[in-house]
Amino acid sequence: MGDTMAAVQTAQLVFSIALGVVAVVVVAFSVFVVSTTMWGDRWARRSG
Amino acid sequence: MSTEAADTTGPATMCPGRTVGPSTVYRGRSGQWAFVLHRISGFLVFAFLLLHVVDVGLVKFPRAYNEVHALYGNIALRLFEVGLLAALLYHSLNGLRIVMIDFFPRAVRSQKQMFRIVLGLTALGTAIGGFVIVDPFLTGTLGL
Repeated sequence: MGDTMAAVQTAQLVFSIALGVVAVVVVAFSVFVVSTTMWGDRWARRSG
Repeated sequence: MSTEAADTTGPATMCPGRTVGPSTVYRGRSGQWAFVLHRISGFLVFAFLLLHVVDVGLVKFPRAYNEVHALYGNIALRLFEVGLLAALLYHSLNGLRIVMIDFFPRAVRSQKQMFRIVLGLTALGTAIGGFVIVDPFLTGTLGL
């Protein structure tokens, strides 16, 4: 039982960390993409 | 994909350091933000898909599979799923908007209205789906 609990906790911990990493990467990517609207030379604002 | 807000009629725009052709320039406002949201939602869906492949692949290890999927009962993951639903809805609906503009170039004139419709349907679908996703947690009927 003890071994089972340890394995379960490990699987959940690993998955949670992976999910957290995905969340951080997505947020970082989002910040990057939004920031390109400020400095990217592919964007041009309307003059009027 | 690049047609949604591209200025295909005006002259090339001078940007710092180089000249950008008219077909590659987004003019800001709705078309620009539709593109930004499309890219972010696409990346979110792609990133979660990678994790999803892993957690479904755990089916070979029933205990780990069951316990990892038990995490989905967690309120944090349920809220994450609501965000994922919003991203999926937006990305798919905006994809249809882009396809429509690709097939019917004149539709670019209505791209702003279509963007509003996409946002409205996304909000509606997210509200309905989000309720279904979060409700079992609120009512204590998760069955875990």
